Formats: sequence, C-alpha cells, structure tokens
Amino acid sequence: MRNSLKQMMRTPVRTILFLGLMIFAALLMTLGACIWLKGTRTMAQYEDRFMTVGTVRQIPDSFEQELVWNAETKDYEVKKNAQYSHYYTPEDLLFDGAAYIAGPEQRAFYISYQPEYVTMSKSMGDGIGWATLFAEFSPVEDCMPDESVKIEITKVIGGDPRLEGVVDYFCDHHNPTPEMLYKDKTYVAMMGHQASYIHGRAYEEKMQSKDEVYIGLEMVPFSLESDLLLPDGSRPEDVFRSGQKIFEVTDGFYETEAGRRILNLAQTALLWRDCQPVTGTNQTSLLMPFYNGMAYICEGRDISEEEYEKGSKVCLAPKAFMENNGLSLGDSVKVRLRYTDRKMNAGRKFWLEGSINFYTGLVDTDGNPLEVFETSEYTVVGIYDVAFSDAESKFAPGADELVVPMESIEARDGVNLINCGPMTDTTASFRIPNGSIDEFLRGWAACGTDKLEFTFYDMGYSRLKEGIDNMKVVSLVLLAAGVILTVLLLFFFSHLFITKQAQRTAVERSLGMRKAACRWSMLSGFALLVLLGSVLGAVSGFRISAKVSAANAGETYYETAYTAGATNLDHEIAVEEAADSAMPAVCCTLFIVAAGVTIGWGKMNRSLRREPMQLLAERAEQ
Amino acid sequence: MGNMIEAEKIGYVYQSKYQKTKALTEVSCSFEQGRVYAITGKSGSGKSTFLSLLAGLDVPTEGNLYIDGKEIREIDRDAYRMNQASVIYQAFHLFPLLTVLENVMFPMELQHVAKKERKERAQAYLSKVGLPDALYGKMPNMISGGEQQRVAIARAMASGGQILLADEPTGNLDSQNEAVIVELLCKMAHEENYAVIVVTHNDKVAEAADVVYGMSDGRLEVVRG
Repeated sequence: MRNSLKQMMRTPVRTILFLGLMIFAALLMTLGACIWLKGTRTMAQYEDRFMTVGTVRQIPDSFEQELVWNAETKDYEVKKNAQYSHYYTPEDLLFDGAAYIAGPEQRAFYISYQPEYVTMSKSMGDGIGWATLFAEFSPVEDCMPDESVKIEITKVIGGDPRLEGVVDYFCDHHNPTPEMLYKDKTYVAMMGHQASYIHGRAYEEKMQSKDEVYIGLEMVPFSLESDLLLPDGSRPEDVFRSGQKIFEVTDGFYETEAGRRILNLAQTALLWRDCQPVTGTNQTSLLMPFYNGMAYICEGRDISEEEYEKGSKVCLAPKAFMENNGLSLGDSVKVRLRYTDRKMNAGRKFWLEGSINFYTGLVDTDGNPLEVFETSEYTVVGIYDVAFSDAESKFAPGADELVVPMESIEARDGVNLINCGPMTDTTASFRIPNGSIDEFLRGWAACGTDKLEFTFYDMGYSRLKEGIDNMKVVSLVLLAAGVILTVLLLFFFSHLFITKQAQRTAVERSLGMRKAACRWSMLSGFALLVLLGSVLGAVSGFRISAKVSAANAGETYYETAYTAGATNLDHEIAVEEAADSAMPAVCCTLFIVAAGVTIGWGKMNRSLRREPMQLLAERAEQ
Repeated sequence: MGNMIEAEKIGYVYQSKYQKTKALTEVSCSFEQGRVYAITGKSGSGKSTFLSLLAGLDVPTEGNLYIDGKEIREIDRDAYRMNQASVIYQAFHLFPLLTVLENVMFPMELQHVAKKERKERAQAYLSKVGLPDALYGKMPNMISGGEQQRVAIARAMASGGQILLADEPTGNLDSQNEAVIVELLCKMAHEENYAVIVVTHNDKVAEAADVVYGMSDGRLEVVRG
C-alpha cells in the first residue's frame, strides 16, 4: 500500500483533483441524504400533533320567500328561508376510500336543567336582561297597536319582576291586521324587545320633546306556538302557530287553552337561567373550539379514546363553571337533559359572556312543559378554559358547556327536540389522516353529492408538508447528483488509477507479485483516497446540514394543541426539526467506499484476467 | 552442469475473440547456467513469445517446459518469477513513479527483505551495473535509455534468481550503451553464473552469445551451439 500511495502522491494534481471531487460528491450526497432524512423524520415527529379536521355544510336546495309585515314601514319584508328536500346524515359521508380517524358526526347539544348549580348567567345577577316577558298590560289609551303605543305593565307572570308598573311602548309589529286595544281592558301576551325601534306618533312625539332624546326598542308580542319537533325534525300541528298573540284577560282566561299555555310558557321561561348546555361528541378534537385552540384543557386530561368508545360518564367542564360552583377535578356534575337542539352549537345559544338566545316555546303541542328526559352524573376528568378573544367566533363554545362522550347519552337521537337543521360547519365534522384532503375530495366527488360542502382545517400541516416536500425534492436532487457524480468519478479515476496502470500491474506480475498482492497494491491507495474523500465530504455535508437546521430552528409553521395549555393561545408554536442524525453521513461513506472498491475491484480483475505477457506485448506495440 | 530449463516440443497459440495465431511450433531446446543464449529472428517470428514462456509469464499451449526438472504448469509460477527468473525488456518497463533505487528495491520488497538490507543490496546492484550514485533518486524518465536498461538489469539481479531473460535489451539503445549492456550480460553469465537468454535481432549481441538459436515462423533451430 505504501508503494501505491507513494506512486499516487507522485501525481499530486491528479490525486488532489480526485480527492477534491470525491469530497464534493460525498458532500452533495450526504447533504441530500441528511436533508431528506430530516424532512422525513420531522414530518413523522409531528404527524401526531397535527390533525386534519373537515367540517360539513349542507347547501340548501332552494330558498323560500316569506313575507313578514313591518309595522314601521307599513309593508311586507321578504325573509328568505333555506329549504332542504332532506337532511343528509353522517352515514351519507361513508364512502369507499374515506379513511376517517374520527367521525363523521353530527352533534346535537342538550340543555340540561341544573337548578342547584350556579350558571354563568345566574352568576352575573339580575342585571342580565330577561329574554321574554309574560305580562298582563293595559294600553294607556285606546289604540291600534300598528305602531308603537304606550302600555302599562300591570302584572308580570314570567320574566323580570321589576317591569311591573312600568309604562313601555308596544306594537303588534308583524301583524298586518292588528286588533284595537282598549284602555279599560287587560291583555296578556308573551313579548320581548326585538330589533324594532319605537316608531309612529310615539317616535314623533319623542323627537319633538326637548327633554327626551332616547329612542328605545318597543315590545313585540310573540307566538305561543310550541318549539317541540317530531324526531325526524318536522313540526307537528299546533293551533297557536301563526295564531293569536295578544289575549284579553277575562274571568276564567287562565283556565282556557291559551291561558294555560301562557302560564306554562311563563314557567319554562323562568328555567333558562338554570340551564347548562351539554355537547356530546366522539372526539374532543372534532369540536372546533378545541381544535383551533380557543378552548384548551388547563387541568386534568382529555377524555380518552376508550372512554369515548364506551360512552363513559366523564366530562370536560369549563373552568368558570367549576369555580362558580366550588368544584374540582374528579368531582361529579349532575346532568338532567331536558331539551335537544340538533341545529346549532351551544355557543350560538349560550353566549360566553352569560346572555342567552333562548327558546320561547318549551312546551309540547298540548301546552305542557317539556320535562327532563335523562339524568346522570358525570365525573369531571378535565377542566378547560377559553380564550375570550375569539368569543365572537361562530365556533365559540357555549357558556358552561360540558363536553361528554356522545355514546354516554342514551337518548341522543332527540327527545324533546326543539331545534333541528342540516349539518353545518359548527355541528358536523370528521377527522381524516393528515395530507389526505385531496384524496378525500376525489373520492367524494366520485360518489358523493354536490349538496355537501367541506371545509378542511389542518393546523398548517399542508403548508409544513409542502415546505418539507419541496425540501425533500431538493434533497433528492442533491442526493442523485451526489450519487451520479460519485459513480462517474469512480469510473473515471479508477480508469486513470487502475486501468491505465495495466503496465504496472503486468510488471509487478512479471516480478512475481501474486494477483492478490497486485490487487491490494493497486486498490489500496485508490480505496484510501475514496475513503478519505467520502469521510471528509460526509462530515462536511453533515455539518452544512446541521447549520441549515440551526438556521431554520424556530421558524414558525403553525401548531396548536388543545391539551397544550395557555401558552398556545396564539395558535402558533415553532415546529422544531428532528435532531440531526449522523446515519446518512455514515451510510453515504459506506456507499461510496463500497462503490469505489467494487468498481476498482472490477477494473483490477479485468487487468489481472490477462497474462502479463499479453499486457506487456500490447504496451510494447504501443 | 544440468539443464535449468528444457523445452520439449512446446507450442503457443494466441487466441483472441476472433482469431487464433500460432506463435510457436514444436520448439525444443535447453538452457543451462553460466552461458549466454541468443535467440534471433525477424519481428513476429515468435522469439518474444518464447521468452515470455521461459519467464513463466504464461504457459505453452502445447508441449512441456521444465524448470529444474519440473513442468512449468506444476510449479508456482509467481514464485518462479519472483525467485528464479527475471526479465528485462526492450522498453525497460520500470515503474515510472518510483525512483531508480525504489525500482531496484521492489523485487526484494516482494520477498520481504528488510528495508535497510534491500536498500543496501539495491545500491550494490546499481553499483555493479555501473550506475552513478547521483541517479539513484531520479525518476526513470529523467535518465537515459542505457541507464534505464541498467536499472532494469539491476532490478533483475535484485530478485536473486539465476535466470535472466532479456527481450531486445539493446533495441532502444545507441551503440555505446549497447556494448555496455552486452558486456554486462556476458559478465553476469560467465562470472555470476546466470543463465542469460537474450532475444535479439542485433548481430553484435548474437555474436557475444555462447549459443545462438534462430527462430523462424515459430520454429527454433540451432544456428551456433
């Protein structure tokens, strides 16, 4: 080997060129391999932390125009109501090739009657407005309530008791043919302040007044119809639908059907401040507030997969509710499910700040109040908090909302169903493997309907994957360039160092050197140069790769995990790349050395296959 | 003195992919130590082929070649070349990237002679062939043809064998160097007891030989014995 090296060193330009090019080739190869491996490992490392969730929205078949009378404009207004021939269900989303990790599910939320607990709205005291008022009243003067007229509230049956004796403005706003009100008669109605301001003569008087400048809302009577729906979501017959809203109070009125209904509705209206929403799901991440980081588990743990599957009586409870009621992790919460809403998410009815967009007809078509249909106790395994910065979002969780396994609710298909609608992005979702959105949409397009619209959220996975895929393409180019360059270099320089040295081989053989010794003599120097070049190149490639990683460290892609705590509220954390591994450098070195030895060995064997006599004779002729 | 080498009706055929060429036909002869043999003939007559067979660089395709009574196919030809027979060529075939001294040391390195000893011996051989000390560290391409051939002879001597085979050793030399080399070869045979077999078409070389064989179309005949 010494002679071999000595002879190589005596052609320094060729040797250094070979060494330099081998270093470069090994560097390219190692750099490519390191980047490729790092990209692959980074993706694998974060695969579990990213989640791809899709939401579903059913597109209306058509819109029906409803004419609604507006007493202020004395004209009908057009109200558009979405029409659906039927509601699609999560089962319609099961098609070949749909690899769901969770769901698809359409969530109902249940309204639990919780008189012994302090709810958010109750905790805020009486200052929070009452949604509806059930009251007897008399007009201040005989009047036609086709504009804002003054009435005196004589008796509060249900609602804010402080309104008794108050004179307020009233208008049968949506009735094109209202009936006269007489000041010596007493009337009763379910009413409330809606989004219609005082208008008509009352408005003009107010405007003429020097003192009074406040233009408030007028009271509007509501229909006494029942909100109760049949299990399929259709509305049963109810005599109070589109019927009379204002009733004269006469002797025995409260014995009549209308009177009883008003009393029963007034009774249910008192309940809402004691109500708490309960949402059933099959995976916490399917709830958008948790998925997008608006809600996060600050204490305890998430409901486990097993608990979801088994329908265990465990729940996630909001921090405010736990604090208001002096509860802690592991305590039980008694749940009395009373109503079912299959149209909205809890956040659209139970606003986070405590007010409630409540229902007005919580009685059956016979006028009887809807009762609790399921009672059970849930153990709190996790406490979650909410980032209020997103409270206005349609995905916001409801105030006091409990999250429970869907399977834990026996009557989950809709007892006391009071609201029903198609799948929407706030009530229907599913989880699919990361990176499979396009595949899902292709599969759905092949067999699905265009009446369902999907929106996907992947926490930036696509962006990260795209970046890493681009990086991997570059790395593969580097790797391929390195491999090709290595092979070409090995062939070219083995030709110079071995094939072109056939005379040396022949002379060595003529001097009695054995074939094995000849092979060793010729290959050892070549192999040593290959080894040296590949090691230096691999080390350089590894270091450059590590430097590139260090430069990328801290680059934010996007990540949020609902169990990660408050520090993630900005929804973004840095995705750290996988640790640098020396494995590619080692593999590249081994590959290059193996390739070098193999190619050199092959060339050497070709020289050795021929007898020195032939070789030397050829040389002599040359 | 017995015959060191004995050829018995040997023949040799060069076989390429597309053709066969008969280079030697039924060649029989013998060689012994202490004598200079010249094999003359025209180019392509087969004399170099014959010499290569004698050197153990290949084996005859026909007949038998005995070295010290043993058939060449049965002996370790590598060991034979390393320890018994050395070849010098018209084109010298020195290692171009080794110095003069290293070239001469090379055969001894194969024999695992200690570095110090092989250096001393190499210097002695180089001195014996009359090469000045100043050239020992030179590369072969930096010295003249005659000097290179002397290095080749020194390298042949360094192997320690007693058979010296020379293929047109003066072919690339001027007349002055030619005489020096011929004298050197004769001296090796007559004083050092080598069997020197020279392939040549140079009359002066043939004249200096003790025995002259003529080679024509692959057949050998005694010209002067």
